Amino acid sequence: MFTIALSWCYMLYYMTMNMDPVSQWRVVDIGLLFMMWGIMMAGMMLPSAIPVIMLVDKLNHRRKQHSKPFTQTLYFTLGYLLAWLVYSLLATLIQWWLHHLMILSPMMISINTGFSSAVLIFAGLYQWSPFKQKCLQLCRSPFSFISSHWREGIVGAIRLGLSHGQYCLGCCWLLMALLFVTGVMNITWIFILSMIVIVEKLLPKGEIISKTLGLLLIGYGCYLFL
Amino acid sequence: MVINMADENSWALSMHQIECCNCSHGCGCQFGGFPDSESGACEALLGFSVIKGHLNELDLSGVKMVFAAMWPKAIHEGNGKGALFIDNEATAEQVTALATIMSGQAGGMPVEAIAATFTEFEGPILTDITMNTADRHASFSIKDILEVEQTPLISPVTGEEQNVHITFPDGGFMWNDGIIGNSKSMHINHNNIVFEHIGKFSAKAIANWGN
Repeated sequence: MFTIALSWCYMLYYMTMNMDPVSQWRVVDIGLLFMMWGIMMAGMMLPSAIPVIMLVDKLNHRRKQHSKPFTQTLYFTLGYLLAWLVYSLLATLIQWWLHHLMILSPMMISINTGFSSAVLIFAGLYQWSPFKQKCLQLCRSPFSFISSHWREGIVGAIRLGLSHGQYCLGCCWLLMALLFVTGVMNITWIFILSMIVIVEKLLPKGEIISKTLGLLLIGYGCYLFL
Repeated sequence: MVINMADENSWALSMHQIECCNCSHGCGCQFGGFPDSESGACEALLGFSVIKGHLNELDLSGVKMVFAAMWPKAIHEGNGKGALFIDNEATAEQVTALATIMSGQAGGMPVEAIAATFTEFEGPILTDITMNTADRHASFSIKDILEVEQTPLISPVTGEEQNVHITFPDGGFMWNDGIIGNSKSMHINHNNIVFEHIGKFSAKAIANWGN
């Protein structure tokens, strides 16, 4: 909860970046960009992971009550965030490269219509792919996931979190990549995308919602292209 | 040497599992995490007959028990109410052992995860349980409290009994191969656990659990 609040606080108030042309970027700028992606992903993905984190916590809490060995839930959460940190690193490098190609403006928003519509259409198609739907399904049923993949100890908890995070990653990485189109630091879109992830993952008819969203994205992508 | 306290109580249960719930055929909880019942809640009755099982040195073979549970939303969202009934034929040691296992205190999946989703849990309640583990016509009942009877799915075209299975080749969370049927009767009236769901999802399977 604290991490979520902290990352949103950062996104709302402190998110500033070096807007100089990329040729003048230094290593520290890339480091800051990576940190920003990391914090954004934590803020955007953790809210939808609350139910699974709570489930793990309930389990550990009961063990604590019965004086059984337990692992702090924090390690599970860390594992989950680890998956998204790897993604953040990739996103940072891709963004750097996109700046070099002049596809993104120094304001970190796409200025290439072809690129924008391609990302939108691809993201829309991806919503319908069996792989995405499979990941979404695994993400949406933490109960069977937890009970069949449970491992003991700190390393076990991190691994459990990491593999749950991987399903969420498989489910949402292209949605997050839409930030390149909407503007990486656009807080309105950060909020909208976070809500989409929550709706897809936590509402009873999430699969249908995710496919409808796919159609909208394809539609918008085509509209941009024409 | 690493000493793992969770291994102190080593248990394994291989059981006939007779399951009925309020979902339509297929039971969304098995795949998508969310029940596909009209109310969005999950209300289930499960009968177990232990084929072979133990807690440490104690043999649990032949014991019968019934597990009643209701959750207001999906199981993983918690706030569940549960009750465990154990047949009078079980010895006092067996009752204690099953209560320890089924309340999640001995660890092991899926019971430990299920137990974590309850806010109220009653039992073990000692009573007479009648149970028939015949594959497509399984049933169990406790006089004046609950009753479950399964029937096979009938083909709407030919009117013949259908042989329908749900299988999880890589391992399901409750069982790996379930014979799917229909609930001919399914009701409970016990304290604050009260429901009735006829013509809904039912499964008969062999469940293998342990820690």
